[in-house]
Amino acid sequence: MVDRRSDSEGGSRAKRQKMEAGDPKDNPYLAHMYEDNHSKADSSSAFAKFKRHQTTAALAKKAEDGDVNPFNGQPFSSKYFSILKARRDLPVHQQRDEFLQLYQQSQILVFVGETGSGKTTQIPQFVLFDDLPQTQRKMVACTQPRRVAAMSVAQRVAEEMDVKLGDEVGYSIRFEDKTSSKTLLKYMTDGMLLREAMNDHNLSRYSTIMLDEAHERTMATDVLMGLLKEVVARRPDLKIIIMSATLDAQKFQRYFLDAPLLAVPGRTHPVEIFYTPEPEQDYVEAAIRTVLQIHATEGEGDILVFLTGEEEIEDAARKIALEGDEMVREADAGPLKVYPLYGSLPPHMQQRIFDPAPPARRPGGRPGRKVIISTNIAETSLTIDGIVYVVDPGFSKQKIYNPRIRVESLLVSPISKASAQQRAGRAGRTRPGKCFRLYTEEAFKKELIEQTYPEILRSNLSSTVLELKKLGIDDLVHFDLMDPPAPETLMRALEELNYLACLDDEGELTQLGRLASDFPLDPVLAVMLISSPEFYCSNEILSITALLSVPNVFVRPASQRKRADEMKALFSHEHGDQLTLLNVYHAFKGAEAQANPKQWCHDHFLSLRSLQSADNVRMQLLRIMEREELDMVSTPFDDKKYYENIRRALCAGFFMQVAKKESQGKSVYTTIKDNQSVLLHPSTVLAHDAEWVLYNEFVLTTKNYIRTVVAIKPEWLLDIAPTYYDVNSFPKGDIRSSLQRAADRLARKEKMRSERR
Amino acid sequence: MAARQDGDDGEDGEDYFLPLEDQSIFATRPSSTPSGPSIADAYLSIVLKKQATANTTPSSPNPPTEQNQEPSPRETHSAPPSSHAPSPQPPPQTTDHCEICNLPLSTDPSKETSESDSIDRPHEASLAHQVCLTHSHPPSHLDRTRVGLKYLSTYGWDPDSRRGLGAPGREGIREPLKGRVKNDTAGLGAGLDADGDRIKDPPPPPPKKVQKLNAKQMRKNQMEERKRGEKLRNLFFMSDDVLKYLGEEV
Repeated sequence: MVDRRSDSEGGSRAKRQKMEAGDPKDNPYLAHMYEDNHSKADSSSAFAKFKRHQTTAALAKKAEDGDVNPFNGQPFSSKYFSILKARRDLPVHQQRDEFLQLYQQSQILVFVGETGSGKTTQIPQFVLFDDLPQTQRKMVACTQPRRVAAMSVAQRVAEEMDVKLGDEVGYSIRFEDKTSSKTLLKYMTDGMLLREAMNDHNLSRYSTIMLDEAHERTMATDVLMGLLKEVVARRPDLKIIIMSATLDAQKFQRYFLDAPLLAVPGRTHPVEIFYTPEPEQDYVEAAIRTVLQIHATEGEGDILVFLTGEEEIEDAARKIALEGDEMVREADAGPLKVYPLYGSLPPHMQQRIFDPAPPARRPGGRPGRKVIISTNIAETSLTIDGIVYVVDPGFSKQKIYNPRIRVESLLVSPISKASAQQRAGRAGRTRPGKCFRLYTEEAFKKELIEQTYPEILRSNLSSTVLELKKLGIDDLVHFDLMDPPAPETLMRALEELNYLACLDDEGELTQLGRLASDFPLDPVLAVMLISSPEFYCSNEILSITALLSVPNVFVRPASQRKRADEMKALFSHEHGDQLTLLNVYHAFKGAEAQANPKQWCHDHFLSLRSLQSADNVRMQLLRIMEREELDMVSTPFDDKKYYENIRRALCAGFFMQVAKKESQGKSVYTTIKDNQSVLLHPSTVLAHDAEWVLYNEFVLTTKNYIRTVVAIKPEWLLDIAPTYYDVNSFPKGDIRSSLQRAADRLARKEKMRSERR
Repeated sequence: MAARQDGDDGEDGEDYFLPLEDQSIFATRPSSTPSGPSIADAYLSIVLKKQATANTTPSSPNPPTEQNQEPSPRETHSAPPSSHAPSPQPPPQTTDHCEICNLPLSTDPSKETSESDSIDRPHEASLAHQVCLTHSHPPSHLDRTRVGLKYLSTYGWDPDSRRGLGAPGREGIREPLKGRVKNDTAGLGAGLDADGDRIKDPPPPPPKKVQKLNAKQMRKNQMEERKRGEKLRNLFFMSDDVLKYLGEEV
């Protein structure tokens, strides 16, 4: 699947067409060659009278009301018509003509639709009926910031259009592509479109590109906007629609050279907002209290509480459930059901939030209520109907990157005003609601920033810079981003890529850099993977890379921590966590586990979902490795260098994430070059006090931790990354002398070897 | 754009403000800086003029030296003349305007005599002129040898320009965003005083009670103190820069 995408580029297209000879007249790329075959169908087709970019809502309505689906020539099902009726009630439908006019007139359009307006599902269909991409042998793309949204919206729109998902309507996300040669409308993550742009700088497969949820300002959307601004100048036939929620729409308009703007009201109800008279001393406790108070005094309706992280949410959920039970017993309150919601929760648990609220315990009794305690994923990405009350303490976990110490951390930070409005809006989905803000109005005005900072200002830019270089954008100084990052952050990214040898000293993309950009991975992981054949362990490094790209495979429920740790100990490797992960994967792929993977994972406190997706990621990466003709090799398992080779190969990517034990102080480490004092994360399996370790993650909490570590030797670093570990560049001290000793040892060995010869 | 920049920096310590009078030290505008000899002349004219005014008020004749000196600066000056002494002859061009602040250079003598303050000051020192000067700022803290800086410089970014990246008219932030670690569950706005300012750390706890120590504890304390002292000394004196300065090999 991955191959197919890059094959679609330029010259290889002809080859592909031959291969797909199955039913060539269905191939939109070949549509022009089969006019005769189609003429019969065309005369009866609803599209016969359509003139591209001159259609009206009335014309489209007629086509939609016909008996035959104009896209695939099949008769419409009865389900189609019932959905169609509901679709016509959506707010966007009222303005279909207005939309078409603006769309036809201008190359770029900013479309503003509040949640519930139907923009994500309807606008792309409006476009299909006017843009008629099949006549141009092109496609319409609609990007989404999240994989789940891309999949679920594509599924929904396929139903609405009465086609099979993957045929006329498909989706494409990282590690999964569900499109075919018939596909006219493609939902995809913004990251995927950016990847496609890397091999096709003009995005020539598309006639219209829609960037949905642009207000979320993900890194990929921001880069795409800058890129599309350049592409529209080169391709006058390409149309762009920027879709956003109301917030800050003028900013998009200004950015896109005063493009016209169309706003469609959402279907929302008024929300009454309450502030606290005094600041809260403890927002978690205040949130719990507020929920119980709502349950005791307010009318029917479900509650949505925003908290910051898994632990906090689980803790609050437990407390509310306990107190709720007591209220039922003592005050005859209605039953209360509490559901936690956060990203790492398994899907079937996430699904439970859509369960209806519990009924009253007896007829005529007080109605039941459900409480959802969520991270900010319920702020935009998930829509839960029936929410009438929102409790907002004003915090969320936000990523921030410090280029000086090269640490990306998740910090509990005040939300923005825009975010607070969005949260309040969640209470007005079904009927008028209430939002309880656990801070003063004063704090809202003074403490909260207007807009959440876009991701591009809060992240490590090394993969973005690599992508931009691959996109052929060299002038990073004047590249027209909506919010350009700080110079220091960009400098750091350029330097990291230079040390990784993805960029040469002149800042030009190297062969390795070009190769690394083909992998949908962080450059550190990509470089490690590409160099792994040199260390005779590409099979193993591929597994480790996959395991590091998925959520934690170890499950550690609060009630069974000890048992879970015992199980983990079965897999642990004395030299560190990456090797432990590898042991887990090998065991998982073993016959015993594969006989009943679900039971096996459950017994060993492992996440089946994570392991399966690691398996999937590994398969996808393997295809890229094979396409790039990288050797898949292993050191024989009984060779004593088996694990050493893997540890060396890890150094080839992670040599900038190394820490050395401090001479004083128990198990305190100092990170190399950045000189941060860190501790080994309690989850590590590292059995002995290693002098030098390599880490996957720097976690900033109450203490600085490094997580997922493996023991290494300074000699390897000197050998693998001699420029980064130039002894003379280090200040006098412990680290320098240790490196110096290692260098001396290396020199001695070398000398002995040459003498022996 | 200036407002935007100011807003961005907010409270980070990288951008410090220099008072106006200090900033003028860095101001190196060729048009406003008099050339070598004229600085001396300007100085003399200031110093001697004081004498002159002091002398003229009691209506005593000007010393001859001054009269000899006076015309010379006016001739050598290509830059705006800075002397405003009430000379017997009116200056040849009274309507000259300063290139920088667009104000007339020498006002008519009658006014000057009435305002004794402005007489003593050359035009360049006037507040209006100082405000209009373009001030250069101290250079950026970035290490000039960095590869990333070299890259950005080749595409025309100047680290000392105090500007962000981006297309013209859409300038980005100049410093990376900073996060604040929050380890408690204090609510939003808690820990702020009535004006919304962050309350400083709580006052230090009252001094600890005097403890009686035995000899062993004393020794231990002393040892620790000595260790700490040594560590500090190493920190200060064992750095590469100092060693290099002291001529030791690094």
